[in-house]
Amino acid sequence: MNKQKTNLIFQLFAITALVIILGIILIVQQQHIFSNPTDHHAQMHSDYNVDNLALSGEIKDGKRHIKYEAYQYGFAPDPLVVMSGESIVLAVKSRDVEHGMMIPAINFNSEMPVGKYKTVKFTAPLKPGKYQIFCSVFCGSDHGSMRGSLVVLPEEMKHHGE
Amino acid sequence: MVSNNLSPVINAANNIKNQTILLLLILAIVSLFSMDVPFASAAQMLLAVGYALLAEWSFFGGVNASSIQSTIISGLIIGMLLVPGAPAVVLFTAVVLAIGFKRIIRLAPSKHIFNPATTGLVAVTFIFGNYINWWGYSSSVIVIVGGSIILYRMRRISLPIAYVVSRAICALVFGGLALGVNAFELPNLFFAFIMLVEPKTSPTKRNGQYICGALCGILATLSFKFFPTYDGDLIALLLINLLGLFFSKIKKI
Repeated sequence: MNKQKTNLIFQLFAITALVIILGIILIVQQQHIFSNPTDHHAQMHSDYNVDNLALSGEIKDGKRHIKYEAYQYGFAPDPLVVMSGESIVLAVKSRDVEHGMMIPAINFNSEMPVGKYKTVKFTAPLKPGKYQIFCSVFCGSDHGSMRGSLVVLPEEMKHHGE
Repeated sequence: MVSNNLSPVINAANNIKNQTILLLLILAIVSLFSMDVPFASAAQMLLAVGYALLAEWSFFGGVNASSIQSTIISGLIIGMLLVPGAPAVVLFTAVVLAIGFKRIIRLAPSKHIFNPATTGLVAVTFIFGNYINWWGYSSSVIVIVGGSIILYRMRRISLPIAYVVSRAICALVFGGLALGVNAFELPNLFFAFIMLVEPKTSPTKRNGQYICGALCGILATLSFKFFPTYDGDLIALLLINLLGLFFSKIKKI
């Protein structure tokens, strides 16, 4: 009886805690607290001289078209520089083995086939700053440290570097 | 008297699950030194362990020390495989589903069919997309030496050997020399020495281990070849868990 009671207490406590945590996660996600724009912004300014960054690719039909390639163990061009809120059309491919590109902050993920371009689309975040890009397909010993950056410039820097 | 005082410590140090937890923690700590975002990665790992314990208590009530050790291992593995900075809801769902599936899909109260961490990770890949990055590996020497000591005691060493050899041959055939060599590198070794060998879901007999390890290598390579968006190793492991169930029924294998 005592054991059953203890089990019940454990279960009630744990279920309550999990429900509260899930609630907090969903509320926080709703308010985008985890993608705090000031963090991305500060990171961009500490890592790059923003005035010297040229926008990647070119504008066609109102969308930014960029050729983006992966190799063991990096991405090119790096950083990928775009304007906030822009529609991005990436032609992605891998130069060697199968890679993937993942931008967790905007929930974007795509494979990058070897030797041939594949077209993928996403909308750049509205908040300016630096966002990390990871490889999402195991590609070799340094897969875990294969990183790239997406730099999102603020609206007021439109026509910058073009 | 002294030996009496020390015996709990020696017992704890001798415990295979404690040794696995220690190995994972060493790997994680070494990995954190090479990370851009060490605090976020460490926090992710600790949160995963915390969620796993809460999920374990939710599904199973007050559990014994052995179950808590297994839960910590599952939490650590999930925290170490998800990309640093993965959305909080992805981490939470992966951990809760991992422990939940352990409860739901099982043969007996303490005999689950699928590797819990793998089930959770594969489930979130299908729900949210692929957030698996394998950041929590750092040194092949630590994985091989630490893993071999543990596996020798668990009598599971044939499993990773068969897997790595078969994975290398298949990768060589389908992807050329570069991919073939990758089979001997991290994180394949992490997968082979730590995830593939979970005692409750892997075959106990040597023949079964050779067959399951080799098949896992073949399935993983084919999965990476034809469905690269998903993590081939993890999907192959789930299939092998099913096969392991079949082998456990055949006494000769």
